[in-house]
Amino acid sequence: MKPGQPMFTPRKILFAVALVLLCCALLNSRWTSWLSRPVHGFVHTTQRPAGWVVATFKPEATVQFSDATLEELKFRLEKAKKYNEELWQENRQLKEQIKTFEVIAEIRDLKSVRLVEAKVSRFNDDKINPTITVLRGSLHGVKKDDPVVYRFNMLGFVESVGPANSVVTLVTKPDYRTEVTIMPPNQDRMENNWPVFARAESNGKGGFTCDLSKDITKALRPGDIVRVSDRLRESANGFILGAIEKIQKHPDRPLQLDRITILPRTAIGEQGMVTVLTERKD
Amino acid sequence: MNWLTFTITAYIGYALQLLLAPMWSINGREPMLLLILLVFVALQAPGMHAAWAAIVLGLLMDVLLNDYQTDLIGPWALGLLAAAYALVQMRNLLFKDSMFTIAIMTFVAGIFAQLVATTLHTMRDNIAVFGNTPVENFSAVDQLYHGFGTLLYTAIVAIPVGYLLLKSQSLWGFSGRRSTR
Repeated sequence: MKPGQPMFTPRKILFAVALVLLCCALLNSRWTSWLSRPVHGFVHTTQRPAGWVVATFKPEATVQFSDATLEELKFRLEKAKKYNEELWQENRQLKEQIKTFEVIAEIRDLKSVRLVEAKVSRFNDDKINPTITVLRGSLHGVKKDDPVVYRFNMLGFVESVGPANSVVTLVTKPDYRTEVTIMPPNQDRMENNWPVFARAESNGKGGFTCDLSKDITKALRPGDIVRVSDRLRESANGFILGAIEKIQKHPDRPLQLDRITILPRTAIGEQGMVTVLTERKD
Repeated sequence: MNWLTFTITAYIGYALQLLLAPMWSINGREPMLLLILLVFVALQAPGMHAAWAAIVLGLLMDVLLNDYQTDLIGPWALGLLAAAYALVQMRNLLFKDSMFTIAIMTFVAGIFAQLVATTLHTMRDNIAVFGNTPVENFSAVDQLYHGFGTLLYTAIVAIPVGYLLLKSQSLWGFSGRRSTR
C-alpha cells in the first residue's frame, strides 16, 4: 500500500463484500447463517408494508374470496391443487418410510443399527460392475461396506463414501458370493428340513445360481424365498436376495446335483428411496 | 445517483415482483423487475454505484427467488454484479435513453446473471469439500431452461417498465455523462 493511500477504498470494500457473498454461495449454510439469516429476516420484514398496501387496494388478494373474479378463483384453485399434490407426495413418502422402518425392524434389531434413508441419484446397470449412487455419505454416518436395502430386499453394499453421496455396488455383480437360507414363502411345507442352507453366486446375467443335492431340491419349488445368511458379513443377514426362478439339472453332474436359478429383487420402488443400514456408534 | 430514489424504486420493484407473481406467472415464470431496474441503473449511473446497486438488488433477488428453499444468499447477488460489470463495459456502445435498449440489455444481462447463479448452484451441489449437502432435485439444465424463458418474459415487460424508468430520469440525479469508473 502506498503512503497516503486509504486502507479501505470503495473498490476494496466491494471486493470484500463480493468475496463474502461467494463464501455464502458456496460454503455450508451453517457457517454462513450469521449473514444469510439476518438478510432473509430483514427482507421478509420489509414485505409486510407491501402486504398492507395490497390488502388496502386489493383485499381479495389476501383473504377474501367472496368478491374475487372467476380468473382469480381459478388461479387459487390451481395453486391449491398444486399444494395438495405436494402434500400427497409428502404423505406417500412418509408412509413409505414408516413401512420401510417396520419391515426392517422385523429383520434387524433397530437398537444396534441406524437407518439412513437415501435417494438414488444415479443407476448404472453395467453388467460387470452394476452400481447405484445415493445422496447420503459420511456426513450422514454412512460407512464403507454398509448394506443397502429396499424394504425386505437386499440391494448391495456401500463401495465408496463421499461426504454427501456414496456408491453402492449391487449384489448382481458377477463375483458376488454369499451364504443363503432358502425358505418357502408360506408355512405349509415347513415340516421338511427347513431352512435349506446353501451358497449362492452371481451368474453374471443379473441373477444367481446355487448348486444343491437332488435330495434337497425335491422339497424346493419356484417362488421359495432366498435370504442372505452370511457368517462373514452378518450385517445383511435376513434380507431377501431373491426367489427361486427354476430348478434344473446340473450341467456337469446331472445325477447328483440340481442347479437353482435365483431371480434377484433389486427394484427400488417408485420414490427412488433406499435405506442404508449403518451400525450405531454408541 | 440519488440513493433515496433507488431505495424507493427498488422496494416498489421488489414488492411488485413479490405480489404480482401469482397474477402474471406463465408456467411458473415471472418477470424479474429488479433486473430491469439494475439494467436501467447500470446504463446510467457511475460504475461503482452500479456495482453496489447490483449487490443490493441481487440480495433481494436471492431472498425473493429463494431457489430450492434454502436460506442461501450470494448466487444472484454475484450474478447481478457480473451483469452490472458487463453492462458498464458495454454501455458506451449503446443508445442509453431507449426503452428498447433496456429491454435488449435486460435479456443480455440476465443471461450473465443466470449463468453465474447457475454455476454457483452447480458448484455448491457438486463440491462437497465445503461441507455442503446436495440440493435436492437440482438440475443446471432445468434451471437454465427455466431462466431463459423468464428472461424472454422479463425482456418483454422491460419495454413498458423501461419507458417509465426513463421518464423518471430527472429524479435519479444521474450527473451528465457517465464515467466507466
